Amino acid sequence: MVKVLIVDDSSMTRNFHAYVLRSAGFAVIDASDGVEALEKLYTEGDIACIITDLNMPNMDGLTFIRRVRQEPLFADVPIIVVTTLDDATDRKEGIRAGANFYLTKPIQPSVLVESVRIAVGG
Amino acid sequence: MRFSPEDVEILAGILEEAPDYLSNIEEQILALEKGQEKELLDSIFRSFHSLKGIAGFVNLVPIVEVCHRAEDLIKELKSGKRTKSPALIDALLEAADFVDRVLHRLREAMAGYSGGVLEVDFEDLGERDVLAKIEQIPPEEQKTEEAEEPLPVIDRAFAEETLHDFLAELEDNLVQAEETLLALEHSPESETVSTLMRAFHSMKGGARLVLSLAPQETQERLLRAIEEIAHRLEDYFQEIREGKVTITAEVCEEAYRGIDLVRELSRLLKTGASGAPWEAVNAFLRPQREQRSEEVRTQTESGTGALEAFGNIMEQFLELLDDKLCSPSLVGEELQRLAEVVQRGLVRLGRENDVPLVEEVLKKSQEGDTEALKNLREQLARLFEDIQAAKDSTCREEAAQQTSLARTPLQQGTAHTVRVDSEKLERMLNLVGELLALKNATRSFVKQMERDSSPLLPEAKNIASGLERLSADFQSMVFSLRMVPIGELFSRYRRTVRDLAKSLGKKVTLLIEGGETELDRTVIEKLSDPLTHLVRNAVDHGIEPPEEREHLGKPPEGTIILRAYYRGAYTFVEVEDDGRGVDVQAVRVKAVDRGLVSSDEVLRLSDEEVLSFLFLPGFSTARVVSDVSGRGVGMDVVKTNIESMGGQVGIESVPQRGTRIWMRIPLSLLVVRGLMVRIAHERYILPLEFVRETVKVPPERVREYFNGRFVEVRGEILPLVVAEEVLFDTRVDLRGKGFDFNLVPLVVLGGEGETCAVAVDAFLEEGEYLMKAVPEYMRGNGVVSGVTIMGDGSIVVILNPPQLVQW
Repeated sequence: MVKVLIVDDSSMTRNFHAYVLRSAGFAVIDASDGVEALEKLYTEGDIACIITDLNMPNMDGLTFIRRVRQEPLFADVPIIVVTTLDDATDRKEGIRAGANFYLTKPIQPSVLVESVRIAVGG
Repeated sequence: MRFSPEDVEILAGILEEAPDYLSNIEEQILALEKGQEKELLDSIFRSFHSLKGIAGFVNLVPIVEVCHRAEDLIKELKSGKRTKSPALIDALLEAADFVDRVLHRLREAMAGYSGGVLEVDFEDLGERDVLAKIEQIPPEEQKTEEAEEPLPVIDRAFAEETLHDFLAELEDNLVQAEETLLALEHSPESETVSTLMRAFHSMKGGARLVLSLAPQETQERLLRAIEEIAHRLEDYFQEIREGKVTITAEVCEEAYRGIDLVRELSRLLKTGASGAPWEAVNAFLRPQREQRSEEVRTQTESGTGALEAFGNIMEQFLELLDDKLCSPSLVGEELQRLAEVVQRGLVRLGRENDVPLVEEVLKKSQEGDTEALKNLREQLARLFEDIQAAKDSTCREEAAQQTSLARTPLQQGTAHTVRVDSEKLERMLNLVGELLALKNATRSFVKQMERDSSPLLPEAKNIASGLERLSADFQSMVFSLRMVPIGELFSRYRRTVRDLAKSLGKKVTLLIEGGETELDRTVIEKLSDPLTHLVRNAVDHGIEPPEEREHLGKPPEGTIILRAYYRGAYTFVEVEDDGRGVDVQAVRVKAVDRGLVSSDEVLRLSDEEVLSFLFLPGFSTARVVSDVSGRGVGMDVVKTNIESMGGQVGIESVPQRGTRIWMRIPLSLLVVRGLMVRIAHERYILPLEFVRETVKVPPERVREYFNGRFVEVRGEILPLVVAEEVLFDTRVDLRGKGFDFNLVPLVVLGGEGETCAVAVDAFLEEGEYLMKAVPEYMRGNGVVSGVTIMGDGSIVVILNPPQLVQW
């Protein structure tokens, strides 16, 4: 199964995204902040796609994305940033930091699934 | 609003998780009142943000809107655009309350849900009031207060002039909006949409500005309506710009309607005439929103998942390309990363043939060939349009996919905790009861074998002790599942205290101690009312007004402490305040007045004994007491509630220093260690916590004085109660009873009150029994505290000794 890492400090959002993706046949691992997410990346291995929030405690999304991109091991893992309508600057920052593209909340389940499918390819 | 069966499933999830966020928010907002740390703001922001996000899944517009505004407030607070003020805190709390109301309404609706489309009406929950409240927060209120500058007096003439300017500008904006809209109908371009949005934006801003100058009431209402309509229109075109809504004749019609309304409202403002079209305004603000959410809905429902996902990515790619065209040096890797995804998306949509086009883009961008890139961008844009036009063919397949997705039950939680249906917990508890009964039965069986000197005894003992261990573990496990930290309940009172103190013009801090103390769920529920009562009492009557406190040399801010801790086999829950305390003398006088004690006796009673009168029904409602001491209404309810759980209440008070009310609740209400006895051919259980010892005495040791009986036990003279007499209201001759060996079995009850002997017919067994509550009418004035169900299905009454001996 294709493994997706969801990083979001809202357990509600995490659970929903996980639910949606699992229903679509993905394996989901989750983390509530950047620190935990990095840990999961190293311990879980073979993560095919990362979906991350930007606004998080401990280590925010931008720092997390940069750290991921610094690691040659994960340089090619697609990263999807999840933002809201009003964070236009954040989005650009996210892309600049190394994300592939962003999704705007609220994300319709089908769009989430399809975006991940596109991101991981095949 | 209408929800499809798929939505309902998601709603169920929302209802489970949202309350956690809400209680968080409320606490944090209240904390915000005290200090404004960045982390706190972030945290509140995230909570509202999460709620909004989750509500967005099913287009729960009311929550989304309110949370969105609340988020804005926090953002402005963070950026320093606003300063903290009571009005702002109130507005945030109201927002949280509103979300709570919506959830409540949903919960009700879900309870009666039986499949199909779920229709829920949120119209009457006061969304507009909440939004209005947020809008009405006076800007910079706190600042002017702190600077202690006199409030700027708004010059009427200046305000009128501003209004006049606003109306002129409004007219210009209206004309421009109308013209732009006309153009838009013919050729939809994003630039035109932006112009339109700007027009609406200025209308909104202007209206707000005039509103801030404290206009007259009639003007205020008109201005607010203009502001709201403009706001809606702006949002509306924002969605169009983002491609969420496509421009249709209906959309334009709607916008015209809004423009006409604003024009009419502006005319009324100018002339001061009455007869505003409120109905039309409300109709415009309401259904438009509903319809809007409906539209977003149908778009997604038609199942364009893959296409939408691709569209989102493609848009970003085109945007980035534009950036690249403007400043070629800026964008490098970003484009590469997006291009990869775009290519995969094309493959996914079966457009493999178009992949080279993206390759080409990358190549040209590396070469810095701007002209070629411009050309390629156009090609890509056209390709995108093509793909969108072809979406109808993929539609049906997608729709099927989407429904199958949504129908998969919510089975895997990501968290390590599981939410369990309380009914299942209840059933588990019944299993514990059965297990206990089995254990007790095994124990007496083993005893029987012991008496019979059975050869199987060692084996049987082994089995029995194994069963005992297992049931004990199982029991504590099940009970621990039911334990909830009391902190959640305690923190609910922050709001109560705050609101009440505010309305009374008092300053009160609520401190929570031992919030981590865990109590059984049912206990927590039962504590809720008494605590509300005690907390209200403390604020209302205990804590003095700030001036009075200062006069007494106390800090102006009163303190109420909610405290919980374990002591022995009990949990203590206390409410303490540093207020004026209870006037014990006044209670003494009242007690004599009421004929509860004689005037001689009352002087011999300790203060504590006197104060306990406050818990008597009727006593507490007496005017004198509530005026003098303030320990007011319904203290008897507190007592009754606590005693129904086998607990006790007490009060300590020092004049001018404060009052402490404690409630002592048994750790486990569920399992009673008890002695089973026989009384008049029936089995009864006496809880062991009250049993000091059991003895058998010859009937001669029982003496009668003045209609009361006493018995001598080891040189001590104890009052004697014959259980059968109490339970069956008869007279029993102990001598003629025919006890075994002609000895009267006595249970000596000790504990808090006086020691007392209770005569029963026989001692049966000692064991643990799962207590079930009994309905009020079965409690026999409190003599019965519950029942237990035996292994054979029979029911045995558990007696409440304090009540039994008071008879």
